Amino acid sequence: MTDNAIRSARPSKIMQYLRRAALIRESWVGSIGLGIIVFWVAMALLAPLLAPFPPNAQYVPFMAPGFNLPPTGTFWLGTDHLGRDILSRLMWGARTVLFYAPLATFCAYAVGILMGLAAGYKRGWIDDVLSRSADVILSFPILVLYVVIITTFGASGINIVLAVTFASAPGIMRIVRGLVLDLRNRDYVAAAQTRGESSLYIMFVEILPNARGPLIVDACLRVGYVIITIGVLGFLGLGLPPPDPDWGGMVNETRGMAMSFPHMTIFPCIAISSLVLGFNLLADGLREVSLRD
Amino acid sequence: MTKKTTDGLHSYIPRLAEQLGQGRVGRRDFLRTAALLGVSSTVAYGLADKIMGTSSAALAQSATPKKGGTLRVSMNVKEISDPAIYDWSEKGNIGRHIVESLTQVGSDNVTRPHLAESWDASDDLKTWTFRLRKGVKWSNGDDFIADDVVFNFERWLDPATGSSNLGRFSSMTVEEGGKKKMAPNAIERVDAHTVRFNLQTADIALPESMGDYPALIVHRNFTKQGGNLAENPVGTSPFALKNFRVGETAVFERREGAYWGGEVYLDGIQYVDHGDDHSAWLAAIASNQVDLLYRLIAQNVPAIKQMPQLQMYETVTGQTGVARMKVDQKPFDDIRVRQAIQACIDHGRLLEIAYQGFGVPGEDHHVSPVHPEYAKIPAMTQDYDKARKLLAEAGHGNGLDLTIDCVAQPAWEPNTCLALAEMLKPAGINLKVNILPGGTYWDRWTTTPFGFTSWTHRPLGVQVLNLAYRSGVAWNESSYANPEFDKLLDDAMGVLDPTKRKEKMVPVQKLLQQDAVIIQPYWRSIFTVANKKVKGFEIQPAEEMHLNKVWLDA
Repeated sequence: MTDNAIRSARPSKIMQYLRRAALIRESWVGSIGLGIIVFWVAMALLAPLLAPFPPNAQYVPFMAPGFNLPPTGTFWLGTDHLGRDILSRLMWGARTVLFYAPLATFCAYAVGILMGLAAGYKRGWIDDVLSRSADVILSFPILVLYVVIITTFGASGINIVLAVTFASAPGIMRIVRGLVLDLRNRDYVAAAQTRGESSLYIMFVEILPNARGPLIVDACLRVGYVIITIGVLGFLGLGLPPPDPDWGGMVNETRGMAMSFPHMTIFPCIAISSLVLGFNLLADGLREVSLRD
Repeated sequence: MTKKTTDGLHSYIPRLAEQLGQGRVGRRDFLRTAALLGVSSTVAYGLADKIMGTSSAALAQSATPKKGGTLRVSMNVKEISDPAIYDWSEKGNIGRHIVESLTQVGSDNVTRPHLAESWDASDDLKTWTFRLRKGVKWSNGDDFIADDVVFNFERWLDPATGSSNLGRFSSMTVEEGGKKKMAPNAIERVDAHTVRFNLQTADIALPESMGDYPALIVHRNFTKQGGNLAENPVGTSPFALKNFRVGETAVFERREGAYWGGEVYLDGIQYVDHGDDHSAWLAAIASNQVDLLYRLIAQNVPAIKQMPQLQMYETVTGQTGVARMKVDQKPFDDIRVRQAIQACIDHGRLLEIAYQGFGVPGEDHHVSPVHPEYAKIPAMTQDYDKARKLLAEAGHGNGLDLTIDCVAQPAWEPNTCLALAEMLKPAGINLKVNILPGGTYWDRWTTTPFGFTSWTHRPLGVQVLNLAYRSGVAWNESSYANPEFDKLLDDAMGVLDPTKRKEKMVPVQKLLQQDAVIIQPYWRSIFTVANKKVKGFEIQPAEEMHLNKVWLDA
């Protein structure tokens, strides 16, 4: 057999990953989490097709769930204080949260991993500078940090991403640095060093892939926290600027009327909690499966 | 020269009475105009009763007031050092428990004598003589005299003070080098209890202006003694300031000794600041932490109806908000853009969406149906074809991107802007709503190109027009400057007869409406709520707290 024939007989990298991902089926907790996430992702992707009304269109304010307005249609979850369909706003709001939460987490990881690898592998003054800077940022209460950043730079999607990156990267850096400190003394790293590989190669090809397990679990949990953060910022009036739907903002705008019209507040609350729960269950499942390996 | 009839009434009163008898003026118009001309409210009500055959006595309270107790009120406690520069009615409410005004506008929107006992006007409405109440004592023991009034007016009309009264009493000013200043001999001290005002232009709103909150009368030595009302609270009111912390609380106790206004029932008043969050106000009254709210927002009306221990108060007012365009800035310097925006508006729909229909649709001229001089003119109607045509002519055929600034709280303001944004979409106007913290908005309210500003109630329509749309005045937030408008407004302000003034208001209102300076969505009803044990309280259309006759039924 030639080398090529051997290679083609082995499953491709992508197939390997998919097969690994399919292991989540072995954890029922993880499956439920994944199911919830898939549900909301589907809602977000199909919002233009599924949402019964445009998200910002105004009809009749304060209507209870099931309100029927012929010939316009039925408002299954009722309307909010400006007469907008709550179901449609939840669907479109899912797009916002499912776009910004993973994006912000990804950015935080990109920065955190770079800092952690550099600090853990290079040590010396780089480690000192990065670790002390991280300590400074971590010494602030995280919510205060968000509020300061958003009020200074203004409320917008990109600023939320920046704020989350700034506030979360140091925590991620600590995890990565800890893992690197352990992995840098392994034999395969020594072997690569002997081969004369560059530092970048060793950090990204030898060390990082071997640190991925705990990082993936942490990322899943962190997406959940970021969803809550986006919700909290919206609740504090620092989220995405209206009128575009944002779950936290929907709670904030209607909570004062929750005594009289609870449906306007409850449904977005359920949406936020279910999505966060989804990510947490998925993280649990992943940990379970990875321990089994 | 002042003309008086033989029974001491102004020469206009018999004609006014005749008009009331013929149904040409309403009872409210009659009472207001009679009060404006110095007829005491007892006589005015008596006259009206005689003519119309009604009985005001039946409206009197049935229960006997009880003395004692402290009334707890939830309201923002703002800085109160100088009444001349007050710019919030909350400041006026705290200040009014220390110092008082010459006149007072009641809950029925009628202006009555207060520190001034009576007044009369010359027939050209340019010379007004005010007789001050005798026997009024300042809390430091001094008598209240004409010098106090003269001191206050001179201070208000000095541009260095920075008081909005400079615009309010513009009939007492002259322009010199582009700046307004007090006209020579505008204020004359006739004797210890009489002051005469010599106006440059006729002004029917003089007594009403004197009841507005920045026109509270401080002691003649106010400036000499530090110029800070919170630190040195010398006043004529029946209460004494005991504790004051901005953003927290203001505590008043009833002063010892007789009050000129008769019996005062409350032992004290305590204002508590619950911040800007209306659900905190609601929670405070629902849990019996306070007895009275300064304000109940419309969104919370349904919640109150579920609480039997509370009494809700409602009144239609001249309170409103205007989406005003800066007429000297792009793109609003082009009248076609402003008219296009106006053509997109369905005022009734804005009222329904943003304020649950509690109020009256606006007509873009800032004169309310509750104002006595309001003239019914055709309202603007929604016409998207017209809007698109105007936009195309103005060179915005491919759409127009705009941003409107507004405050975050109260919620009806951003909600109105959001409803407005939806309404402009079909014409190709993309309106972004920029919601700002209150402080940030009020820093730029006169400079932003497009802003949504709330305006409080004033008893006469001409008062706001004079403050906000006359060329060059301090609160002219739209920079609207139209000499024709100024002249028409002068004409209207010189007319006493309600029916004739209505006629004069037609061109004023039409001009402002056609120039499309503002989008005025609606006149809103206001609400407040008190515990049922609070008696004698009435909601005042400018949200003034008149608590001297309030009592608690323990």
